[in-house]
Amino acid sequence: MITLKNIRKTYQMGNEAVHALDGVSVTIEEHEFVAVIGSSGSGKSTLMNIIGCLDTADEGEYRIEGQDVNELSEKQLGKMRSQKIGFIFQQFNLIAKLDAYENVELPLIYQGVGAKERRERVTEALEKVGLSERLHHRPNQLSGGQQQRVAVARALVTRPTLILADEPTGNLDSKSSRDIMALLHELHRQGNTIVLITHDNEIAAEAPRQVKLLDGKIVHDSQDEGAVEAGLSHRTEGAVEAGLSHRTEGAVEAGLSRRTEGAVEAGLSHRTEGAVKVYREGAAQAEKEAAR
Amino acid sequence: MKLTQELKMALSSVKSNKMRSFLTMLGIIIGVMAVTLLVSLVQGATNTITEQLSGLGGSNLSCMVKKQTPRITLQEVQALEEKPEIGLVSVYHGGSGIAKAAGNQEDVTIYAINQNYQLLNQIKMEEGRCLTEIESEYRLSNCLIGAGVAQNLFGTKRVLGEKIRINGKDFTIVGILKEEGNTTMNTKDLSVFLPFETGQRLLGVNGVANFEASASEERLVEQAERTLNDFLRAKVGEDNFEVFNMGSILDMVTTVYNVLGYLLGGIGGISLLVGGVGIMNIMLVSVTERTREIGIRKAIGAQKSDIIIQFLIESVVLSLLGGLIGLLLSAGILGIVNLFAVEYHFGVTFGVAMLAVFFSVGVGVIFGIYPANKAAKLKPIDALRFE
Repeated sequence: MITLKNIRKTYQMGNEAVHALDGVSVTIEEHEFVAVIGSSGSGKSTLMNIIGCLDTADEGEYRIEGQDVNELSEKQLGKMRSQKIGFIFQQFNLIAKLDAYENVELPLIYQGVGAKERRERVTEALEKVGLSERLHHRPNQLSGGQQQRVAVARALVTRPTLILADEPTGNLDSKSSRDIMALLHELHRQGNTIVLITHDNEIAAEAPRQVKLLDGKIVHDSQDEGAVEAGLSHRTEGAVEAGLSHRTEGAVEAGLSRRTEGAVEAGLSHRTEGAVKVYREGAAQAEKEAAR
Repeated sequence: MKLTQELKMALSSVKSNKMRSFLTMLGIIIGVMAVTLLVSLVQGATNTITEQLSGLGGSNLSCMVKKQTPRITLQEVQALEEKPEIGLVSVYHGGSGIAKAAGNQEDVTIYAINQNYQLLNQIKMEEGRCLTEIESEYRLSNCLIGAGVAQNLFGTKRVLGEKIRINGKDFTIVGILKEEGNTTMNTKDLSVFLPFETGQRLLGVNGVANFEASASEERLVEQAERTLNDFLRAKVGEDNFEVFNMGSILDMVTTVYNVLGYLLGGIGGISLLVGGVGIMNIMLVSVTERTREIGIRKAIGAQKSDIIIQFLIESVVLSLLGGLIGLLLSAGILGIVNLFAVEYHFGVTFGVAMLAVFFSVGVGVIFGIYPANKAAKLKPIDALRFE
């Protein structure tokens, strides 16, 4: 289980402070499959880096299996990555000089696993992703989908607490994407905890739980949909939902100019009454148009 | 276990960049060659020269009188042996002449020697016996001849008991010296040795002009030298004689060659240093090139120490390979030099080889540590973002 409480991370861009994460709290239970959605600049990469122990938060508390990550030394962070986290990257990030087998073996070498056990586990992991035929192919001899499957095998060979997939389908054609997603579902069924980071709503929708990030804040968590909805005016509920998911076309979409979208979400976070008003007007106008 | 994996990866990295690895190694190859060649050449020359110098009389004190009057008699010189600090005294007189036998003739060096001469100069016999005091006392016409003389006159070394005519006088050969081979300094191969007083008469000299003495003990050499000086000063006066201490000449020569060795080794060391800078340079390039790889390795669990070891092994592999290649090339070159410089013997000694290997590994570590550390310090997120 991993818990994040009020995580903040600020970057200094010239003279301006950018709040990449602005008070993010989320709990991910064991065996969950969570998709984190957000457009670029929403802070999802920063969130991934923090969850993956590649970076530490400025403020807040992050625990993996009860262990407070902020208190860890660099060496212990390395150990955390080695033992608790399995990474799957958009660019696959395989080491070009090593073949598929060696790439999958590498994390076990760093863990100091013995040669015999290594061989068993690497073979098993590559079998799981369906690549037992291509053990000794180098990354440049494999297709994108195959490379990503090697990366998946590398992520799961250490039997991590958490598999962290950052846009795993971002560089793949649609068929390979489906294959990788099917693989992730399979791993989820087998009991792995998976956090999938994506900007693609369709991909995210495949996960049982979605968390949406915007401007460094969680603006939507499908798990506690009720709570979010409670903060909304009941009258506009349907329209808001529609506006958020970008799914429904027609009346509501037409009524909302792209520019007011930000204001809508601001309205969700209960900050500005005015924005809600603007939104209501938009909704009313939409209704009118719909009536026409 | 982990280390063998690291070693395998380092080797494959060296292999995957063959041209670059070779050029990097070239610096070390040249450096190691410079060190081993220069040091080995000096060592070889030193050995050859000291060998030849000790062939001249080892640690004996060699005395030379420049003035013939007042004459120093054989008895006076031999009386020096009575002194406690002096061991053996040998007298000799050299001249040149012609030896004839079996219808052939040969220019030879004639030495009139006493019995001790053969001990002090470590004359080795091929066949026969040494000359004795009695032969000198009775001025017997016996002689020893060098192996070259026997070969040139008789065409064989088995000439014991044969007659030989030296400067018109007949001698019986009682001993043949072992062949010395080709040395630059006085070769005994083309010499004949006569009993001292027989020789004196043949060469037409009186008294003793040259003699050698050994100290009775190693620690008394200087005292013996003083005794000889005092004896000669009293006899012929200052400036009319020389006493050479072959041991101290040998020491001096050795010191000069040692200094030369350090100097040339140092110059070679500088080129090794330059080679090291080359390694550091290429390792820094390699770190930059592989920033992303480092990020990946860190993300999947590599510790700082793993990265340091990886890069350090790589630089040590480069420098060690370069060192070994340099060593082999040096040995090859010295082998070729030996073919041409017959009088000298050059070779890479074990000590020099160890020095070269030790230094090249040292260079790899010293010049590898900075790039390795730079790589290990990279933050995984920064490294992963690197394009």
